[in-house]
Amino acid sequence: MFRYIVRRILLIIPTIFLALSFLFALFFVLPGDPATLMAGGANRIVDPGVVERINERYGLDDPLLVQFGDYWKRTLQWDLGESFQNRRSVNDILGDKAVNSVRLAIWATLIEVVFGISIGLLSAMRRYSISDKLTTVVTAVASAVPVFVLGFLLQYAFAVQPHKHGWPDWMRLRTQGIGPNTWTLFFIPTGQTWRYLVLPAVVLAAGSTALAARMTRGSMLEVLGADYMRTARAKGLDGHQAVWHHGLRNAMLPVVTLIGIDFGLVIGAAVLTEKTFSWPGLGSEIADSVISRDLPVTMGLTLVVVLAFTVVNLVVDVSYAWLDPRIRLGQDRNS
Amino acid sequence: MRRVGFGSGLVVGLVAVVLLATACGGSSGSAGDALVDLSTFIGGPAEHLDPALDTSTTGLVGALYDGLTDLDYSDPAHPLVKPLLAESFQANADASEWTFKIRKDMTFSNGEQIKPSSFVRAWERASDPDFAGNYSYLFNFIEGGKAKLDGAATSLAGVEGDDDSMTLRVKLSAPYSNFATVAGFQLFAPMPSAVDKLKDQADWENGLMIGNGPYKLASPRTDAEVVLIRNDKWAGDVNGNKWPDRVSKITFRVSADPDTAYNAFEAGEGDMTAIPPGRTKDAEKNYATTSHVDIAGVYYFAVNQEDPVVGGPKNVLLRRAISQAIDRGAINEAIYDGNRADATGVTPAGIPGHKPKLCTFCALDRAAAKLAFDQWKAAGNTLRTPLKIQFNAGAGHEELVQMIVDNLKAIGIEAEAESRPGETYFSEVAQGKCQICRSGWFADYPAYDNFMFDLFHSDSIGGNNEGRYHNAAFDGLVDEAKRTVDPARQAGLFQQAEELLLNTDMAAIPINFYKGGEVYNPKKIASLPIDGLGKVAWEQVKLRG
Amino acid sequence: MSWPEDLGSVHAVRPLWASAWRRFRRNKMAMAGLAFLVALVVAAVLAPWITRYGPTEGIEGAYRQPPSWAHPFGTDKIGRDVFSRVVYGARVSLRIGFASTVISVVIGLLFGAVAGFFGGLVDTLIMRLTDVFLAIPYIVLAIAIAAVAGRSEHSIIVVLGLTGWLGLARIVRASFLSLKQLEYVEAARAMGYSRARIMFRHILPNAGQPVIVYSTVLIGGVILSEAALSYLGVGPQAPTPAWGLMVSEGKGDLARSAHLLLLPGGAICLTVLAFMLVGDGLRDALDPKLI
Repeated sequence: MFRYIVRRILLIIPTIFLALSFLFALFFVLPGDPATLMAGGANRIVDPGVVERINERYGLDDPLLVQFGDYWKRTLQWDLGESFQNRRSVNDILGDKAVNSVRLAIWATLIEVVFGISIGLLSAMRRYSISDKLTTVVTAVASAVPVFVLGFLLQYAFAVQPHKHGWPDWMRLRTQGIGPNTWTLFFIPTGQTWRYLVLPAVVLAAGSTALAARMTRGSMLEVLGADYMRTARAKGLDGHQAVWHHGLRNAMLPVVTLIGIDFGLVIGAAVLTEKTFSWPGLGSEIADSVISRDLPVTMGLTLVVVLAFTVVNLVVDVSYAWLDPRIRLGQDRNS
Repeated sequence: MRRVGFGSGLVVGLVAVVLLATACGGSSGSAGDALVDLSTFIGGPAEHLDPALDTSTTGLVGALYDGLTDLDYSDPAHPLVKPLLAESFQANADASEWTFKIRKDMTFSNGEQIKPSSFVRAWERASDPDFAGNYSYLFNFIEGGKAKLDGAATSLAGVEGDDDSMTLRVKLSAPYSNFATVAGFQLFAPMPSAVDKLKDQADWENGLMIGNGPYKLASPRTDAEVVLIRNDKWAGDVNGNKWPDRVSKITFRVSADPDTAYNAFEAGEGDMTAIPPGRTKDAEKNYATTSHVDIAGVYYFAVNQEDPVVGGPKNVLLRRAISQAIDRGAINEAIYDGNRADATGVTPAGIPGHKPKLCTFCALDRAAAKLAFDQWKAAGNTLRTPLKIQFNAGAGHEELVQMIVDNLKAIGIEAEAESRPGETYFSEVAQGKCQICRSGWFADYPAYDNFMFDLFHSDSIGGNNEGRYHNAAFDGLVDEAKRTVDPARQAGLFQQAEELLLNTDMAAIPINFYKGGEVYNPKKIASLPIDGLGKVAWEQVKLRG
Repeated sequence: MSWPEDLGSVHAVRPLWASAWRRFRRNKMAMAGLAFLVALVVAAVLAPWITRYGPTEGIEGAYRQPPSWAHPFGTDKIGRDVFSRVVYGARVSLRIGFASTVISVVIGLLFGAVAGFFGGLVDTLIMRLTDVFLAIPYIVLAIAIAAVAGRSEHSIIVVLGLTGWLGLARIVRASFLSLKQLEYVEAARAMGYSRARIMFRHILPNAGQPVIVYSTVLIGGVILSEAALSYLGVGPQAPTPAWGLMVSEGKGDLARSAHLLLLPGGAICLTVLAFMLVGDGLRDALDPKLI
């Protein structure tokens, strides 16, 4: 077990190195001259002098390898540079955005866990009933609507309409931003903040909750059909007891993995939700920075996203291996 | 120079939802005292607060800094340049040397007196090549500006500030009669001595930046919002009006999507916002808007004069046919929801000297268009391949170009839309690689030459003269106008130049002029004045009750 | 587990398919999904015959009309018939969905099979590579690739194809890991078949079921991703009648011309839903354990 963990931790290093080097290389094959774009070249013709000064300031004229070496030298000292666009230090940007992203990810994951698993279990236990079919369709629809459409519909239903019809204030949710941004214990919204949190968290969770529900259902059904469950039933345990005592733990393994990976993913990939609700998180900042060729922001923020993802993945894998020894052994045999 | 990249809305790059309220505003809940949402749009420029760096159109920086001069829009059709921080300004006979007398009673928000040296400090700072922003090329107007920007000189040779006599003398690199207008641009705003102590000038806008406008920062900006409060040391506007009842606090909230911002506005989370594309009528019907105000921007197509098919004197008739075939009214209705004015020239209303109905061939006249096209063909020309109308992709121009293609087809001219990647579009256009090139121009400072010189003078070829228009007579008129200090004579020269450009040469095809694009809640805001550049005059905003 | 032990598994699976189809037919929801998809494909193929207007043809004066007899889905803001655009959009969306899924499947199969079959260093390398790509937010990759390749339908296919194979590679690898230890593979090996033959003739057909299920759902996911890319401004270009593009253009029209948002949005939703239901049905049908 110890060897397995150490090996996995060591493997994080090349993963991160490759991911970032790949992005760095990508930046330079993107069409359009970065300095021109920084000077606003996507919207207008820019003054050549301005472009020249930008190139000079950020060393964008240096040979690629030199820039690449510089990048890693600075990154290893945790100097992530400054944004080309607004000259803020990337560490500052990171500090602001990462917190927002993690909070949103925590709430989306909580929704996914609570609703995804319970809906999945209920529907597995009443297989082919009306409620099973209904949940299948509803969860499928939830994950079949484009995120921003769902977001706009919800904004309309829970913020615009209530306001237009003068509903009491406590019934109204907010459409955009993070509000007063007050939190207890890091992630519990206090004051009015919850009004700002609900819609983005629900929208971000919608797709993955549906997936978790379907997976729970499928995996539960599989377990219910497995030999040991038949044995358990043969031993005289009735259906429900058998489900809870034997099935659940095994059925939950893949679901927990899915949720773990989801958590790692949504920290950096909630681009659409963040944009739709102006939730200032990492994903949308990264997307914007790629579009505006703001290399230090892209690289710095992605570094953290990749780190978060690999660490979460590691935790998931290790706990999975701990719960299911076959994996650990299999891995060791392969190495 | 500000190219309008996002067709459907000029300001879309940085749209604003605004939540305005005073401390006594009395709305309930979290939106209690609060105000304006500044929303950044994907692909738009990252916003700056530093007047040396900012390129946005929100007017936020304008609330923080005042310049030497300002435009008085009391009569919107005839804006006047008036001294603001200056007591007076004066040019020599050929407008190559300017003297600004600085007022003695002006201070920054921290009480520091504004002196000529405050301007010298600011200008040296903004032209420092290590710091210079995207507008820094404007220092080329000043003698030694180019050398300073290139790093060949350590200071601006043409600028001289004398604190004892409170005079600022500026020698220009070439005669320029509109320099007083340019000097009011935010890039030339004064800076307090605090900037000298900064290790990195980039930190200025991220901290508690000190300015001299009607408002000051309440706290350093965050990703989510910028909060402004009244600057009680402000000395008033060009007419000495101090707007004592001005709103006490303005919050600009960052919004990533103009439609979300509009939803937020409709949900009562804000008091104003920018109108998203296509929702003008909706906004006019349900709320109050600034869509009746003309602002100084033009949407046009540059026609490549070096192109054998459409360019040059021999194809004037074809260009005229194209221009007269375009149904500007329908385009305005369908695409802009009526939030534009059909163009009657390239220089829009709101620019001193603007002449209404200048262009003879800019209105729909299918018969005339057909006739012109037939005459062009009769002169031995043929259209072997469809005309190509180029535009930058993904910025909302597709539909407009599509409508123009349909318009042309209706009189028998075959054309096709050709979208180009936005990242490289303008660089390619600057090199002459297009035929009929979509473009837009939004005045930086309200001066006629900001259109005539920047867009059509032969010195601007390779830059913003996208059609590579070159006419010695036109150049002569523009050059003379730039030397002419008398406003009426100057306007006459510019109008003559523009008539040559459009009515004789038809070198560009103007489509429409911009209009104000803010929607606000009339139950909360009594009036929302915007200036001829589309910027909200924050100090003049009046609330109800 | 009941894997067919016959060496000629390609032929042996046929009866399996027949019984799978029998089981699939019994699943009403899956059949409804399939029927919808068949109808959609037919509509897409016959688009020129069932629509009255071209997808990019503007009708002068008919701007923003609500649904009517002349225009069953209304018209958009420059007077194009929305019904025509949605029907032609089915072509675009299905092309994008199928083509990019094929790319994903090919890459995923190849990498997954190689990793699972050879194991060891090869496996580690390939799995780290998928980690690398999983770790980079896929939207970033998509924006970057779209910027390089331009915003045509083809580049969208490439973008989504190149970012969609990661899950597939993992699934295929897992199947290979377990399958290669089964007796019939050992037997094939003992008979001296080449590794490629064993991999592709003997293991692959049996690893195929989860792949089929996964890729069916993936097609739906791709159609959704097209909408996401359009929203971010890096999807297909106007005037292409792509559903995602239409939805993201119509997102502000909810109050005024709701049909511009809801009709193409509904098309996306139903299509994705149909692929999901069919995927579900396939999973149940191909995996008899559950019955």
